[in-house]
Amino acid sequence: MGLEAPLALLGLLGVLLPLILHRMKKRELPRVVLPTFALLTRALARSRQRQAFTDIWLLVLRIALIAVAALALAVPFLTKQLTFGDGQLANVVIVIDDSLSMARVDGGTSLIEQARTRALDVVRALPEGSELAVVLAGKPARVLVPLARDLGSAQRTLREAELPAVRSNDMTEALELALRQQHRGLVTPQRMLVLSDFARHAAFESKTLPDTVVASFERIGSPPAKPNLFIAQAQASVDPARPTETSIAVELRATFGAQAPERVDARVEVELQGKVAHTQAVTIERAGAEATLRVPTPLPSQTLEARVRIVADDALAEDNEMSVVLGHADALQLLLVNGDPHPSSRADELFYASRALALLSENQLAMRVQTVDPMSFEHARLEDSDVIVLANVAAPGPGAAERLVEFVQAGGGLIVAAGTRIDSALYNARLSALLPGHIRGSAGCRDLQLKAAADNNFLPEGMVGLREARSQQRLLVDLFPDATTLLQFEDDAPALASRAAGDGRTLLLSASLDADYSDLPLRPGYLPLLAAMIREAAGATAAARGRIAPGDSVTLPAPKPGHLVEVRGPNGKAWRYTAPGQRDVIRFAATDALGMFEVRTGREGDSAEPRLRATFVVDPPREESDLSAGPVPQQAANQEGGSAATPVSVHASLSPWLWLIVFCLVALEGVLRARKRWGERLSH
Amino acid sequence: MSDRAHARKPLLDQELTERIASLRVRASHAVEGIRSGLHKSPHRGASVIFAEHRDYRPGDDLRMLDWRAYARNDRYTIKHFEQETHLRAHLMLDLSASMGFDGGKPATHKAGFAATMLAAFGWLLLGQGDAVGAFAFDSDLRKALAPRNRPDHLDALLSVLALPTAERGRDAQPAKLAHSLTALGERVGRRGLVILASDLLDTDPDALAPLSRMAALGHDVMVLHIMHPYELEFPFKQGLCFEDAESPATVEADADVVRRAYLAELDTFLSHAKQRCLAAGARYVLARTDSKVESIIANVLLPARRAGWG
Repeated sequence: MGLEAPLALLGLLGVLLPLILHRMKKRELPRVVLPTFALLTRALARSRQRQAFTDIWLLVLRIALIAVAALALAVPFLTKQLTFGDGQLANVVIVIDDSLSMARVDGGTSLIEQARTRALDVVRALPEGSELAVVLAGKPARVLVPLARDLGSAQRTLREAELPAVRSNDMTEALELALRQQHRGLVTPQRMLVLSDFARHAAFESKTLPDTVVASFERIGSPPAKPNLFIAQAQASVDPARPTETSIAVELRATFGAQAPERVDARVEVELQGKVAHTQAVTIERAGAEATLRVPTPLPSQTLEARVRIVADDALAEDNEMSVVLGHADALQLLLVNGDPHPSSRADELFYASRALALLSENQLAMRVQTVDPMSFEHARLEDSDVIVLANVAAPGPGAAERLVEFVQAGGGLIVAAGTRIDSALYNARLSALLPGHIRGSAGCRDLQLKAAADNNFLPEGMVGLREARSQQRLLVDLFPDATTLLQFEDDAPALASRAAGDGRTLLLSASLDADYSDLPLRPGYLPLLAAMIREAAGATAAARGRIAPGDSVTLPAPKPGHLVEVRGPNGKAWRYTAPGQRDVIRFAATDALGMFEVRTGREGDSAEPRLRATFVVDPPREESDLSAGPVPQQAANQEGGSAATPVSVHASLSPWLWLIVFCLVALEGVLRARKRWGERLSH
Repeated sequence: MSDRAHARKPLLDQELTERIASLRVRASHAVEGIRSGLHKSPHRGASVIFAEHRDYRPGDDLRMLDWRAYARNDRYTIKHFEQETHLRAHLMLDLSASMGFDGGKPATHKAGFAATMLAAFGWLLLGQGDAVGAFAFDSDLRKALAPRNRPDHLDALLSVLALPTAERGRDAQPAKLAHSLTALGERVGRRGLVILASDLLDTDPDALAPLSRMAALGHDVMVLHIMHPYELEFPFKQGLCFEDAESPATVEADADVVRRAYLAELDTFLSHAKQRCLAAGARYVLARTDSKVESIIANVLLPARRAGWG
């Protein structure tokens, strides 16, 4: 504490003034003889107490008034240590890492809560009028508080926001987002504060931040003293020798800190329907460990979530558990019709497609695939399938074509892939109600490339692998007006087109699934293309299957009128969608919970349990389990000086408060005087 | 103050005596005297006021025998008449220090006013042939004058009432009513009229007890409670240093603030004084020193005539 004008303290001598006046007033009283003196003294004994009380308070108040006023004139100030900034207006963007590693508990509090507390301290240290934005660095990076001057609202949002810390880290994108927010501001200087554990995985591209940006990087928490165990992978498969048992192969990993032991004894267990079904002791070393757990195989109609977990005292508990879906009651039923089977596997029409689908089934899309030849297809039960793929099939017979039309109009998906055996005339004749266009026949071409159709978001990321494909042959198609082009050849001819019919849809691929027409099956874009085609054909029902990362959005089928779609999260929370409006799909983004989500459909108002249609599992991001401390980026400073996070001492003047006290004392003195006068008036 | 100035003023002036000349002082009950006068005597004697009849007993004065009743009843009956006697009046003037207050207005001097009141009573009593004596006291008896009814006694009476007033000053003592009145009570002799003029400012709760004894002895006691208007109204303003009239004590007070409490205390004091006088069998008259003497005397005597006075 200090004084800006210490000489003003001489004004404290003024407190003698009321005392002197009080004494003088007493001394100068005129003298009066009163024979009834005894009566007066008795009266005084009654009234003097109140009188003296009022007088003393008035005297004290006046002394206090002068003392406080003198003190206020001396302009006292407190030296305050600011937790951020220099007490001046600033444009500040706070980046909070809300990735999974920030869920680690350090000192009794999770790192994400420590970061939130620190961010709130920073906001409180900012003077009113400052601009503030808060960006979350969990993938995908997003803005929690858009840049604004309403610090109170920002504090409230920051305090009440749910920060589950389950995502992976996307610091680079978060910094770019923070920069964009910062550039919207008008106030200078511009400062950025990044709060993260700066584990090794949280590294970002240093070129993201220009040199002109004053950025402060604060590590939240201390490096973990314990090793961190996590489940790298857990895969369930029915035991071929004992079909009633399902084996879950669990791959365990551990990261050890500098002072942690090199091996850890732990227990791994699987929980099924709330009970531990199997447990196994493991010793995890730096190279990791494996364990195999066994659970009863669910019935074909059952879909169960098995929770595999490591039981150990490690650094991060959130990555110790992983959900595995047992059974395939919700798996997509795919019927492949192989129009050109061949004993030589490489020459088989479905050689590439089968392998791609096997990979999809393991990683992205739970499918049950059945392959038939065209003869068998004529008599197959189409109702059991979700999607039917006619791969280089000459043409379905009249009966099969008729059932195909019914199948598609009832909601099924049909994919027609080109090939040398295609009989375009028969297709046009029998499936014109389904096909997206009129097939004119096949024709050769010269290494045509594929490209995305204009105004279409089909395969937003997969085009990287498709552009390298070259086609030498293709189907020539004249699209119907109600058809949609999903992919094009570089000469703008349709490569993949779609057409809705009833509740289903048909996709026509002008290229073949094997390597006869193009080298597409050999290109990296083949797998995503196949997955996207199946999802598109099956409608969004198929979209929500497989394993996803926290924060990823999932596309769900929009319910038909009178129907509903319900998503049940692993924590018991449920989201229900009705009244589709104009939307064809629902983007479900509330995936900030680890475990299995169920997608169920049913009729509105129906008392029956909605039917399970799909499941997807949100896995903990594996890279977040590496808690090894990475380097904290060097703090940047520009010519405006200093790091914003360096504590700065500022003077907080007490004068306004003291003048407020003076005002209150004056008011109080007036009240006392009025009260005294009122008492005197009453006594008259 | 104006003790000297007051002393120069005659206690009785012609104007006052003319205004009260028509008034008569009469004792409220029987008093003893050795000469006939206006006042009832406890003794039966020659007068025109019939008292009672009773049977004759040997030894009775035959002059009192009612021959008319004997003629009617054939019984000897003695006829008694009230004896009217002259009054022995004692005027008692309190000259304690508190009685020297005039509030800056000589005309309202408490002791002077009291002396004038008593002088007026003395003039009336002497005028109707009663014997009048006087006492002046403060903490003790200062001056005494035995009752006489000679016409030249008025000068002696006035000198007793006026002299101590003129001498009041440094010698004035605080009032000790109980002591003084007890001493006076021993001097007043047989039943008569006692008029006390005092401000009754004595903190002793038994200050007025001697009045009870006087009344018990048959004296007709009247108390003139002399109060200055300043004492009754407390017209002071703002802060003042108040001095006691009978001691060096002082006290500072805001008159505006303390007024209400003072008036309440005064009201209590006056009520108690009146109650104690009435309880002692005395007549109580509150006399403001800014009032006219004749009006107070008239107020005292005219209602008293209906009740036995005047």
